Amino acid sequence: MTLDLSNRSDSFDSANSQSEQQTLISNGALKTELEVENYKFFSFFIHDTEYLLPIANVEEVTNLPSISFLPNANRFLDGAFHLRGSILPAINMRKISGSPRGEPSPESRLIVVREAGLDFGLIVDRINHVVTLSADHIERQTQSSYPNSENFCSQKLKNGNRFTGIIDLSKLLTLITGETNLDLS
Amino acid sequence: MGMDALTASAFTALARTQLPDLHRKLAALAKLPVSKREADSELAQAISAVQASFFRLNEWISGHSAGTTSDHLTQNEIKLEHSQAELTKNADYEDESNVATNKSQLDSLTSLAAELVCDRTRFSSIEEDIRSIIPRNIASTLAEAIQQLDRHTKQMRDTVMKIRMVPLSHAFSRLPTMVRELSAQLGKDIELQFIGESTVLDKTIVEQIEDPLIRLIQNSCKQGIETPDTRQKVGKPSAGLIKISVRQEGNYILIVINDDGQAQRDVDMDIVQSQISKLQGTLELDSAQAHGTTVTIKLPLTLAMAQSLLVESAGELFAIPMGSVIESKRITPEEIQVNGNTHFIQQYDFKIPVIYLHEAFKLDSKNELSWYSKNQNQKNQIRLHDKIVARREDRLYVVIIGSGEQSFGLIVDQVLYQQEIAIKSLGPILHTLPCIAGGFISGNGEVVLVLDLEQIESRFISPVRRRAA
Repeated sequence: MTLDLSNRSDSFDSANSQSEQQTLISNGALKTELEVENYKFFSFFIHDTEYLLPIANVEEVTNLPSISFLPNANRFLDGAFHLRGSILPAINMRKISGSPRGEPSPESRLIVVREAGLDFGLIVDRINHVVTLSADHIERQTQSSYPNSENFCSQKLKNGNRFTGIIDLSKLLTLITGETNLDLS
Repeated sequence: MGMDALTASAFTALARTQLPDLHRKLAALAKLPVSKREADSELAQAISAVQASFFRLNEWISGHSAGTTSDHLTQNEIKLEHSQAELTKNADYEDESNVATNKSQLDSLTSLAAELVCDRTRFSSIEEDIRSIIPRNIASTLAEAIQQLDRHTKQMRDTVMKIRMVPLSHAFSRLPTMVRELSAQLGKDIELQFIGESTVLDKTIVEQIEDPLIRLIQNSCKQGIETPDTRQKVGKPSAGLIKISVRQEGNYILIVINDDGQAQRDVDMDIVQSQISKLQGTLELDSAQAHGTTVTIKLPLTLAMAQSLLVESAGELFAIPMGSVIESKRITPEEIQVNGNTHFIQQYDFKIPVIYLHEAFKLDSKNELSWYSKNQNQKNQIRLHDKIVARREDRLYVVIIGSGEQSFGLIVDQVLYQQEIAIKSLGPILHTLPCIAGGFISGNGEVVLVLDLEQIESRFISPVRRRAA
């Protein structure tokens, strides 16, 4: 338990020292540039694939908190965590994307997002940076660039020959709340 | 003081992460205007007592840890003065006659008080953790400071709870007029009687019980009580009687509605049932008796805090609301009788069904289902007072829920301790999770799920009973 405490202090310090990361995750600062907000994206990795998330939906990014198992829950839900007194679900993004099994690492992060008034967390393997895009960079996702991405991405970013999927949180919500007969295993 | 680096960093972590959070809550608490006069001053006293012990703790930590926390402390001191000023201001301009407390403010006051109780638990657990590594005289001062915080937090919580409690008669106020009007309309003679209506319970429950009560009484008037002619023919007094009696039983309130009308009737209880279950209550209808119909509503005294039993199964912690727990005891695997795929134990005169919690919740396949959850304990290990020990197949515990023939048992690996918890909703995404009533945040910051015993019974036990019958 003592170790636990010193870890807590470590993670606090490390979060502070990574000032670059801090600026990435302070949504408040970014919201001052309201006019371009819709075209700012948060970039992160699931397994070895990069994805984007509209920054307007990102509430907070934290180190992986303690996640509690949820019996008989939707299979994409890895468990529940608490954020300032609220209990929220954490989505296993590797499972959603059909990636191989992963485990917590020092680079793992929880991205807390808000969609349709609901807060939930996404477990990702690494966070990257914020990108600003103009509308002509963004294309409607027509066919899948990588496995299962059509189930949770509806747009993609075109950068030369490279495509990066943009996470559609409403699709994610359907996957974790609605009945689904998709077989992503 | 001879503290090593590890201890110092533990304190720094404590001061940085716990205290500002605690203070934020205290400040928010102090800003809430509460307008029940006598309770108000009591609450103000309780809050300042908590603040005082919080500051003792804060000072104590600043005196014993590296200087990094002093900034925090100065800031907190300023904030404290500010919030005390707010509190006085609020106390000043609240209208003495205004008894109606703003509901959302009362709710946030309650949840803050509940969170403080949890914080107190967290402090105690930190204290226990570091006790062995700090000098004895320091440990005892810290323990004393935390004990005081503990006492004051509880006082404040109790006061907040007291403000929340209102007599159930508030929910009865519209009933006499309604019954009078219905009697006239239907040409019936109906007497309405109350017993124990001064029993107090949570304001939210009292407010929300009014509508289901109105529905039930309307039903009794319309379908239950007969016209005076019919009643005289079957030898009943011409005036019908509807009796509402209220009594407390442990942490529950029982509202028994009894009428002496006809036994057989068509009752649609769906709406009432769902309204009652929203309040974490239950409803029982007995219309088969010769002298009318009895509806029994069982409600928790308060929705905010509940005494719970913490158990462990396959490395996972769960809380069982104590209200329905009869006992918990050790059993050997030999005492569990197997019949097909159902299990029983002998409980006094009855053979009662039992379920293994780890089977019902598929806890053994947790590692496949959850990749990131903490405490990835091995299947053959359990937690005992926060230490990991080997799970022994010959040592099981059964928690008996309910009494007599209606009881059933939950088999777990370990019964840990009782704790008062602040049950939180799991929110809109998770509220459909089967057999889970909510969650709470434990002393070390983990989410612990609270079992929904009604659902466990209907899902796992009722089928067994039907098969056995």
